[in-house]
Amino acid sequence: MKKFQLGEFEEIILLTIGILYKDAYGVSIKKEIEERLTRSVSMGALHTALVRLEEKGYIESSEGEGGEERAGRPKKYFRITALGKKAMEYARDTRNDLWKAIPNFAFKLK
Amino acid sequence: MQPPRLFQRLFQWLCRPDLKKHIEGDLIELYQERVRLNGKTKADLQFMKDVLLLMRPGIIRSFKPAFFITQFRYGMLKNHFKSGWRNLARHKTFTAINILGLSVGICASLIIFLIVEYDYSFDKFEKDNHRIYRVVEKYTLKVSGQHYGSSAMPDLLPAMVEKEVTGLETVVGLTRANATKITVNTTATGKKKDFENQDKIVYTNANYFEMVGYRWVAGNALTALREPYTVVLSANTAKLYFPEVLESEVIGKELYFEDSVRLTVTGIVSDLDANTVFNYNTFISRTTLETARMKPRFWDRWNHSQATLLYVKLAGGTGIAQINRQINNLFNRYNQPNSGDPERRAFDLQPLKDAHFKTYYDSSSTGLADKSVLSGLQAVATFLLLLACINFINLTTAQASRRSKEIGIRKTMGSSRFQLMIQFIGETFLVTCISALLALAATPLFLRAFQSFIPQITSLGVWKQPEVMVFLLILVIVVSVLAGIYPALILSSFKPVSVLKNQVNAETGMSAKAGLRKGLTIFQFVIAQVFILATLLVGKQIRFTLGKDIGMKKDAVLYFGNYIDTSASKKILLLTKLQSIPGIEMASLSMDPPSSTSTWIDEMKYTDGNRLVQTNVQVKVGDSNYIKLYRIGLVAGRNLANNDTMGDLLINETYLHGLGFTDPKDVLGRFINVYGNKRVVGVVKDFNQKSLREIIMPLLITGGISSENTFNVSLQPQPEGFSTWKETIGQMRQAWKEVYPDRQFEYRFLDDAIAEYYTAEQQLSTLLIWSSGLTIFISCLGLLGLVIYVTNQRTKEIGIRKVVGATVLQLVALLSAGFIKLVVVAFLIATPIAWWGVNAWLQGFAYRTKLSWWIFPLGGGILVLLALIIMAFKVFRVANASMVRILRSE
Repeated sequence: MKKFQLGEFEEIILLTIGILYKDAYGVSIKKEIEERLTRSVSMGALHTALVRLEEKGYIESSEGEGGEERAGRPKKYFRITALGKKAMEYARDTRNDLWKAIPNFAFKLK
Repeated sequence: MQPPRLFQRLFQWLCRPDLKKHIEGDLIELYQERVRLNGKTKADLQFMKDVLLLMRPGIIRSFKPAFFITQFRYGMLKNHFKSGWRNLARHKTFTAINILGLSVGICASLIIFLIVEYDYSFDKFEKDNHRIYRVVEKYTLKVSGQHYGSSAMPDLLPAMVEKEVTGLETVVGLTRANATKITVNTTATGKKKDFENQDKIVYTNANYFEMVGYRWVAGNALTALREPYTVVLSANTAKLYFPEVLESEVIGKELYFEDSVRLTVTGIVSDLDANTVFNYNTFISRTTLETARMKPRFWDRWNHSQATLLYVKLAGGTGIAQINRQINNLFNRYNQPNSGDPERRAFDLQPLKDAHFKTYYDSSSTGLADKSVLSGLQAVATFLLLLACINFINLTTAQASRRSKEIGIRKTMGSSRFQLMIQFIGETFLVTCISALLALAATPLFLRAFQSFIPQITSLGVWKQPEVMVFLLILVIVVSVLAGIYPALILSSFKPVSVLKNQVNAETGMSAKAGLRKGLTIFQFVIAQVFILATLLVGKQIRFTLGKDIGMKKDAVLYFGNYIDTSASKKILLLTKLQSIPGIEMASLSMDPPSSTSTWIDEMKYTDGNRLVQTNVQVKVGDSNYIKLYRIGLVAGRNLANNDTMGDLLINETYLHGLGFTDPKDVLGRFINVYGNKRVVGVVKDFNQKSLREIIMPLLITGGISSENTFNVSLQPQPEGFSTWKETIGQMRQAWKEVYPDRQFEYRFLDDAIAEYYTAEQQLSTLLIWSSGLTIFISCLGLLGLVIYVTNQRTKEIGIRKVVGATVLQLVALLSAGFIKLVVVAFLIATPIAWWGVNAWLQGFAYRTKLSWWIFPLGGGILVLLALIIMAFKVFRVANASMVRILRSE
């Protein structure tokens, strides 16, 4: 079970990085999540999660260009690694399995 | 647009270096967008929030010691130390001034710390001591509403509380006693040995040892004090009484209490070695007090309290209010028969930790610590340290320009401002450490000066206590930072370019820094001035209290009689013997002297037609010589007749007016209801029955030899250079021994007893004299330093002025005027503060001296004069120096 450690928020970030493809860096990830899921994301939470994901090897990063609006500070672009993809699939599959295992009548709520 | 600098810096400082750049980029990008959308203020706030939320374990960098070590490399420290040391050595005068001031401040703080620590260390060792309380009570006079507190309890209260009150774990009754004599049969010679004046005796039971937590050396803790006539001794007392007997063999030995009561030793407990209010050493069983022979006179009188204390230990979870209510109810029930007493009584619980302090409940007991004195001492210590710090700040900033070159070069070589500040604070630390060492060496000398506040401390090996060293360390650090931070800021702020271009000149008198120096100097002198004025004014009140005519003779009068003898014959015999001694002018028997701490107050009723006057009246009992001996004036009527059997009364003027009379003759022959109807035969002039803190109360004097146990004696005047009194007192002792052979003869002079009312004031006065001396000393040191500095700066100007024709006096005036102005401003600020403070203090007295106006200029004059003398040292020398030498040095 401990094969792929992936929290809910981490999963969302991985998925968002996937969606953004080549344009995934801090601010764009934050905005994408906020837009799609209408939940607010703090820089603190986002960056700690990104650091953790990179440490686990699920994503890798490369340095990008700076630009005036960032006062010359470079962007850091994230990409999903093969291991990251496996982790995402594992999360999805286990969840699907669990869904399937729910008997139909369990949802007959009033 | 720039995000909030402080927060951006904070982020840069805290963030992991590998993450810093791009997260900061993200932050800035978001910020710019928010400025566009929401405006700058909101964006700023969001930025701050983002930064704060970023402070998480994954993002904050790790702080390795390496970071700090870079700031404090050994080589650098060595260099700082060396340049600091050289700087101190170069300016010896200023260094000496700083060190002297700081060591006085530190020394005083250290001593005061010892005193305060000692007084707050009492009774910390008892198990669960926060649950131990002393029962105290408040008396309120029903008619006048006057009230006073007491810690003495009715003798029966402890037993009844133990029996009836719930929620208590332990109840301890203590009845204190003195023995003028304890006799022991020594085994070796079979001879008797007397021990006189043993005063740490107490009647109690097993509960006491359990609550306080004694260790038993011999005997059974539970049964030792069960039987009457048993006694437990502390180990040291056992050794004193039975020096040649082994501890285990003392059990079963006997000692005689006042020649008459035989007590058997049933236990030995080890002495308590912590500071405690439980300083008794001889414990007699409480059951002894219940025997017919030993029962105190008022044992079962609920309205009589004298020697019994009551301590209770609450069971866990019990509230004070609950116990209070029960005790008050219990007392009111038993005291029902006395409900006609003049006072209402209410019981309360006082935490054990307050029992060592002078409170409302034992205002007249001696040997207790006074919290207000302790906070006064703490304030003095703070002031002294502050003043010493100010000296340091003033002298260092005044000379700052001397070090500008060094700073300029250090900065050019790459020193950061932070490093420079560390350097200068480090130098301050060096100075403070030297001062602390000096202070440590000087403390034993100063301890003697404070001895009247705390005699016990001088005998302790105080340096061995770890708390003292910890306190000293903290003190050194606090003082270093306090004194060092501002000079460090000033020094490290020099701009290298202007320094190296030689543009940092000695400041003119107008700069902001000089302004601050002036302000600080004024502050110093305000404190010194307040202390001087307070010393003068408090001294004036003390002289007033001791010198005021209190309406009676108080010199050359002494009194004695520590023994209650209810039969008249022996007393009259002694009185006749006394009267035949030639050195005695007059002798009189009374209950107590006219001025005493006695609180016998009763409620008197006077009926005049339909008019009923109820008054709380102080009662004095004396014979016909009483008012003659004390020279108490008779306004109308006659004196009491001798051997009067309580039929007649004298009243004082206050009572006369209280009864509604103006002419004293009108009251003569009228009756007052006091233990039956008594006739007023005379009116005496008002005199102060108590200290001048209290107003003169309505008073009556009546006769009744059974309650007269004090012999008052006025002596013939003693010629200058003779000691006839000593001889007379010897004869009195002789007469006493003839009548009461087995009683101690102890006398007191009335003026000594009266002076003792004002011990607190005398202490305050000593404290003030010391404080003003030290504050003046430190402030004047600082002033001297500044004068030396300014005079050196203006040496050339003085030389030119002198050549042009200025006189020495003009030059002195020129140099001193500025400083004298500061002292005068300080005087103007200090006067209202001192006036207000002393005035508030004087409100505690019913009779007070005038705050005469001339005191204030006198105090101000003292300080100006001192300042002038200090300055004269330097100024005259410069003004008289050879012009040629001054002007030639370039």
